[in-house]
Amino acid sequence: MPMLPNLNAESWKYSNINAALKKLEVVETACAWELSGAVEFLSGDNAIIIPKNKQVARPIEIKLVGVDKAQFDTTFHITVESGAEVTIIERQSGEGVYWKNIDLHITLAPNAKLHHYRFCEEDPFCVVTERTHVSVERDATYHMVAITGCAGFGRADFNVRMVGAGGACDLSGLTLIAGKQHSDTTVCVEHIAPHCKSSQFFKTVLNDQSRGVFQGKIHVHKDAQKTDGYQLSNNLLLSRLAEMDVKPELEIYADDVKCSHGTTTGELDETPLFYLMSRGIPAPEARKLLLEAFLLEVLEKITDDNVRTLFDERVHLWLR
Amino acid sequence: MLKITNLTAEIDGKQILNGLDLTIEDGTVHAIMGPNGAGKSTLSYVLAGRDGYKVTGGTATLNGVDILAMDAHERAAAGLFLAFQYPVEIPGVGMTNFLKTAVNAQRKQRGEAEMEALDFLKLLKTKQKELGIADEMLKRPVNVGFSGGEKKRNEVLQMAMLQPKMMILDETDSGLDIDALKIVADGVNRMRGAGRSFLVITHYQRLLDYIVPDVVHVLAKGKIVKTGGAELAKELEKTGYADVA
Repeated sequence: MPMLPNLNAESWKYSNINAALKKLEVVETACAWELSGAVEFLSGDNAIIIPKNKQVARPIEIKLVGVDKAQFDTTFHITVESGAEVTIIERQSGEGVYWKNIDLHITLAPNAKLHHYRFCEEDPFCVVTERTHVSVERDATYHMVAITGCAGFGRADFNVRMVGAGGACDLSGLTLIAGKQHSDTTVCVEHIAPHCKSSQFFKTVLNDQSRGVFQGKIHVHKDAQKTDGYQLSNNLLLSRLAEMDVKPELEIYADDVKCSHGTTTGELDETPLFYLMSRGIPAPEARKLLLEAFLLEVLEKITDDNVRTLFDERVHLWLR
Repeated sequence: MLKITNLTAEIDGKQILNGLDLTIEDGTVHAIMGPNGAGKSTLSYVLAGRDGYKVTGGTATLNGVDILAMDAHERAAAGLFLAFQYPVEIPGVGMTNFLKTAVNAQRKQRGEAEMEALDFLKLLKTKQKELGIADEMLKRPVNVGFSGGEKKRNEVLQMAMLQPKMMILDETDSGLDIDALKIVADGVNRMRGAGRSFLVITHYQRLLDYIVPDVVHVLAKGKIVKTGGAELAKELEKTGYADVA
């Protein structure tokens, strides 16, 4: 088993991975990603390359299914060559008690464009640790929308490096957790090249005794002038026992940049709830309307209709 | 008929209503006027069933049914409607979806069939035209980006869609210019009759030029202290509340 980060490491101080794994009895097991729509783009094991200027019309699906008692340590590479564009739907699912430890490497060459939708249907007792490393070159765009919160213990790290001028990244996510689930989203966007734009927009809804973590950082290096960085985390507590830890950070070494961050954590507002009820809508239905409204802004980031339907269904199921 | 007897209520331990009596017969328009802090808005929230307003004594019945025992949504289904002084903005909830959900939630509670989508849209179109509400307004989220006048017109639209029996207008004139006031008053007047009653709460007599009441009450220190006809409002405009309150 690899060395695990402990709570002394600042970015792990809210998520105790050792404690989560202690309860699991798992053995290292080989695993295979299932791919669809990717045959022509395969490049060895667990790697796809979208060739130069190729516009892939249909989304590619990559899928990793967890198996009871298994520990998966796996790496996947996605390379989008210059001028190419592709939509990738990453589906994480499984049944039983398992640990998935994933490294996802994404390289976007100049002018490349990737829409990455992360959809999670994990077992509520599993542990998932996933690190997504993205390199965004000149005028390339990384667009990611994730729906998470089904694992028992989940930690998703995003490390995005803006290495070419004019690059853009747009990261957003919904986390829906209940019971004793733990979900940690930790994002660091490194602005290394000038004239890049980045956005982080994450929302969490927490019920019961669940615990959510959002740590977001915009790190602007000294040559990254004219950086436009944005970060917002909105969180809704549906239970008095739920806990949300938020750590927004800006670290800026350039002197001509625009960066903002903001975060809110609270309960559903009583005033709109009363307004809806005063029109005859019972409290549970009124709450549901307000929750859907809360989640809508993230769902609207999805540009593919089929993916939108998939995410909508998942949200409705959770709200029920 | 709305019948309120010896109603007392408090908020945060502070008593606001002090034994209020009021009877509004079917088909009549009553106005309540009174100085700031008299308990006008508290009365409207207590009747509509807002959390945090505690009834400590007395009764309130709508057509013989005790409304104080009901939740806010049940009171609405029973025919009570509160037009808010400050209508609430609800980002992410579309106007049409909101109206449809409300109409059908009330019908369901009354044991009626839900309205067909087409019938609903037809009704909405008719009411929308009567109130001069643009299509574009119905595509927006509830009250988001509406002007003061649009918000109040939207309250009247909801009233027209829900067809309540007893309507409370809480300072509907606040923040309205004279043209918007006329449109809102027209909407209200169109609903008069057919056994429907109104309780118009206002600071100023101006609104009562357009919605002419049958009965005017003066509320002070949580009680009705004077009752008269429409002329009482004009009198108050001249003399102020100092003599009566």
